[in-house]
Amino acid sequence: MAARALGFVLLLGLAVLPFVPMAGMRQYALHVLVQIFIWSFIGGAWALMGRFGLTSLGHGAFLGLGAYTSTLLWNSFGLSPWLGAVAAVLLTAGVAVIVAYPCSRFQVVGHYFGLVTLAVGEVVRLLIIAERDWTGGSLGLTLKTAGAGGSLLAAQSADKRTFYYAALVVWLIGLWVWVRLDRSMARAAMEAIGEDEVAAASVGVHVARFKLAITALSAALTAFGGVVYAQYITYVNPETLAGIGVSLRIVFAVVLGGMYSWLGPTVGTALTITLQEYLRVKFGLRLIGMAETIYGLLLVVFIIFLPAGIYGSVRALLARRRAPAPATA
Amino acid sequence: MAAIAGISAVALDNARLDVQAGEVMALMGANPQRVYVVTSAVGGAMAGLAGALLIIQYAVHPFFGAAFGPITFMICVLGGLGNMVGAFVASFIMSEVIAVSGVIWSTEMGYVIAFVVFIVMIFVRPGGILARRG
Repeated sequence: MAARALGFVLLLGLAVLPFVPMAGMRQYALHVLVQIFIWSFIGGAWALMGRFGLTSLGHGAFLGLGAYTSTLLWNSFGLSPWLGAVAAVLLTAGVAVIVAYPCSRFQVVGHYFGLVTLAVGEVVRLLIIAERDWTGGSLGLTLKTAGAGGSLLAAQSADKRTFYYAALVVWLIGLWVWVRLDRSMARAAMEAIGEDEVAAASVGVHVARFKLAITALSAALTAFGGVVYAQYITYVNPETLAGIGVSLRIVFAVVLGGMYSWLGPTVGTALTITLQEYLRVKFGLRLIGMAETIYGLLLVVFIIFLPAGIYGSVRALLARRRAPAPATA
Repeated sequence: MAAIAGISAVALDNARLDVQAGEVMALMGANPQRVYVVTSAVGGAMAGLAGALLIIQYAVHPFFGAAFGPITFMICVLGGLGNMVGAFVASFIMSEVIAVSGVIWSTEMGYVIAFVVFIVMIFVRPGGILARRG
């Protein structure tokens, strides 16, 4: 009963979402929502790998590669970000395969896989800073504007509502990919690989192929998220889009929400972003650093006491309440 | 650089005792929880000492520690978890790679090369540089 009520609320929320910007919402609220959609999509992309034990601590690498590829192609050659996104996704998927292939070949799993990806994330961040002549280095890079009103070809818009709908669609695509994967055979195979690679291989699961495929998929989606983020903010910076900082931010949000359920990344991201914004506005300039401190402490508390994540814990609670019903029937 | 070695020693200490502090340990009469708490305290103390020593060479600011996080991980694993001598050797190798390529090329590229060396080494010798070939 409770689960059905939850499903109903979710459907209602989904039905309401497209009409949200029409209610004359403040630009700021809309901005927060767009951010939540984009980062939820990226978090979901991370969780595609994370839930199968491929804990990547370097998704910032893929995010940064995606965002910088499309931005640089647009700024330097005037290539439309629509094509730039395709290039970014292909390039990032290629890089992901180059990283993942030796990892699966040499059986680098668990903590070691996390460390390799961490190093990859840092390499991308440092390379962006090192090649400052054409990437802008630590100062970042601003997208060239296509005109005051924006342009469809350049995927730019002065109106936040455009990006609201775009981000909503992107987020829904992310959920669709998640559900598709969840229902496919690949999920069973990946779960077996996550439990024990040797055992999975012995029953005929092609371990390397599945791991490469899931890594490439996750990286490609992350890169796409990076492109969308870059188009929305129209500014890219190595600190906010590559390296350890953003990689861990993605991981924290998803772990907080719960990485084993389809809405987990969204719940986690929505919570971390609103919390961050709320604390930032609340404290403002009075106690600088206080917002970050509270945010960090809350994250620690949540992760220690809710290891399955918030959404995961709520779902488990509902399932437990529902479980006795079949026994009595 | 000695300080970097110090930091790596910390994490190593933690990791080694962590592995041993399993269920078996409780059967042997040791208290795993106590070992866990004590090693964490010792680890934290040593990291604090390393931080204090680093001040000799670096400026103090709130994001001071963040710069050493990734490279410390890399050194620990490169030296081999639980291998103090390995960590010492690894921290020398890493700091030389960073310093030399920093002079020849640029500081960022020095770190890039150090990370790439680490990635390659994890594939070639996952047990650390001093580990016996198995």
